[in-house]
Amino acid sequence: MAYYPFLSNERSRVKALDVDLEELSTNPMYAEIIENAVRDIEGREHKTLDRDLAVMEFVVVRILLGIINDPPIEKAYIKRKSEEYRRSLEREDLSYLIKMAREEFGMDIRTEGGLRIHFTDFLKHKPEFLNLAQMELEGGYVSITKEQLVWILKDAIAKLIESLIPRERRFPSGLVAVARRIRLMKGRERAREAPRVKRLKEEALPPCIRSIIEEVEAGKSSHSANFVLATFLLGLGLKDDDVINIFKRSPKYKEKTTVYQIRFMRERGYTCPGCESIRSYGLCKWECKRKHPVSNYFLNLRSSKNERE
Amino acid sequence: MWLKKLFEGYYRGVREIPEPEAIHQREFGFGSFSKKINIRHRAFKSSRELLDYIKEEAPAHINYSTARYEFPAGSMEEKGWLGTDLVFDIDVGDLHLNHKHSEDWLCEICFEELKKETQKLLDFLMNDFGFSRKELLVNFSGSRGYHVRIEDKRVLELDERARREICSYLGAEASIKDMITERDGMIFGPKPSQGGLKGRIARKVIEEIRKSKIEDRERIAMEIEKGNWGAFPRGYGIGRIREVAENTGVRIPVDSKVTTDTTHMIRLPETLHGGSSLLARVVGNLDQFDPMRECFVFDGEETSVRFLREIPNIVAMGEEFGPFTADKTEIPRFLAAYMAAHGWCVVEE
Ligand SMILES: [Zn+2]
Repeated sequence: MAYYPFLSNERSRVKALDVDLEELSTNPMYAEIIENAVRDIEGREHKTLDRDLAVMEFVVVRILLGIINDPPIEKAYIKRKSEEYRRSLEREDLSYLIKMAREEFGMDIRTEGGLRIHFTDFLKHKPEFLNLAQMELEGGYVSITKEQLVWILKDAIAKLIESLIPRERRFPSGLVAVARRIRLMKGRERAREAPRVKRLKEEALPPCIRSIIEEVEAGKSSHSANFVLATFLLGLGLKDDDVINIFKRSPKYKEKTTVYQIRFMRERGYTCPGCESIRSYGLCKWECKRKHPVSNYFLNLRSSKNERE
Repeated sequence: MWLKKLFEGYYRGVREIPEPEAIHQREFGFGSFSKKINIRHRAFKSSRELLDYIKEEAPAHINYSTARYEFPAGSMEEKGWLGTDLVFDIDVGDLHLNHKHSEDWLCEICFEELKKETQKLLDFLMNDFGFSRKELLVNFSGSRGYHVRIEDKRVLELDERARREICSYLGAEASIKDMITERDGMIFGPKPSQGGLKGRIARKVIEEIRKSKIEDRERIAMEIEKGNWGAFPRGYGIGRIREVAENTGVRIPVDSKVTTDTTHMIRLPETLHGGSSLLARVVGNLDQFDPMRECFVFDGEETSVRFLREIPNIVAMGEEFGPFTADKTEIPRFLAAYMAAHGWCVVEE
């Protein structure tokens, strides 16, 4: 079943889900949504999410586009998406299309004496290749085919998406950061940073990370635990392969997903959450009085060296 | 100045002026006898306020925006566009009439043709575009044409591209080629039963064929009724058939600049035209309307004038005047105003 998150009842579901945008943008639990939104904006293939997530993704996409505020990126996204929707609308029943045209876009559609649309709606949304002069216009209504109605809906959807991109100045800070990354990504050759850690010294790991690795080995790690671990290891400067090797310890290890996710997080520059956040995810029950697991690791490393010397 | 005084006198006696919808959202512009628009970006809260201004200034030209703005008195960037009425301007200059007189002159044939085209426009707007006659606000332009305005909500937000499409429809532009096509040696075209331009063109061509002396015309007409346009006699290739269709006169010569420009200024109905002294009168029944009878507002008091050029005979207020030579003579005040506004005579005060 095709899914149309721009429909008004879908958009009102977002309100019902009651997601705090600031939280959505910083909590790694939602990283998948953001990741999808980014892929969607960049026109890369992305997973089909369930309805709740998809509706949230649509929110995130719009906010990101609002922050990025780059007309070509926006136009390309709207063009691609509306074409995607046009293709799935082509497979819908005519009655569904008429309902959408009337209820979502307030179009004046008549069905007696064939499918007809008021000329003002036709002119507002017609594709370039249709001209009023070649249409049958009578009593204010233009006769159209189902296929032509789908093209008209495509334009209405494109304009709707555009109108839903927020134009305000203040955005959730987490999303501002993600948007900045997308902007940076565009056309930029990234100079790779030399890894700071060549080989992981497990004895220097903070207790929370050690515990997550144990969970990984037991195949019991949660989504957010995986996120913390991966961003932590990347934060140390390990190469992708070394990070993947740690996830390989899991009996539930999936090569493709892991490789992709690690690469994704690195490319996006996702950073490891601080100790306070990790505690709020319920992943820390220790009292090491440190602020961040990455600095914690280097501090541990130094103190163990000192002990040996 | 004599004309200015006449205008002042006229407006002094005016009790009210029919106002465009949402008058407080319109930009107004005024012109003098030497410049059509020399004051712009004016706004009025009510027709009362506007009328006070008009009585005070007696402008030679009173124009208002077909657009509605949030801040009509602001600069173009500040105005905040809210929508534009759909307007049409049929001017005698666009009719390409081929009878002879100087370009700035209008004879009875000109007025008749103008009316016929305007009637055709109303027919299109009612039958094809579905407006009721009541929604079509028609007025004489004050000099050489008619204005048709539609203030309906649904047309307000049409952009320039959409308005251009409407003009193309009225002008039957670029569609004949798509309508009449050749496939496998057969020529297909529109049927009279079809809606829109297609039916209009088919009906008109059939009418013309039946009126013509072409051999076998009844059979040809009946074939075209079925959409078989290949029934034309030998020698009619697709190019020539398209030409026949194009020359049916289905097109209406509207001034597309006026219709397309969503920030256009147009004469306020029921005000005087400084270039003719005629009233841009609102037209109820177009069939009965005669601008050269109904749009003069000044009285018939004998006025001494000196013509600056030769003037052919002219029918005004149901009376025939002239011809005049470039000389001194006495004519009624309404005619003197008409001639003076055109710059064809000076009034000897
Ligand atoms: Zn003439």
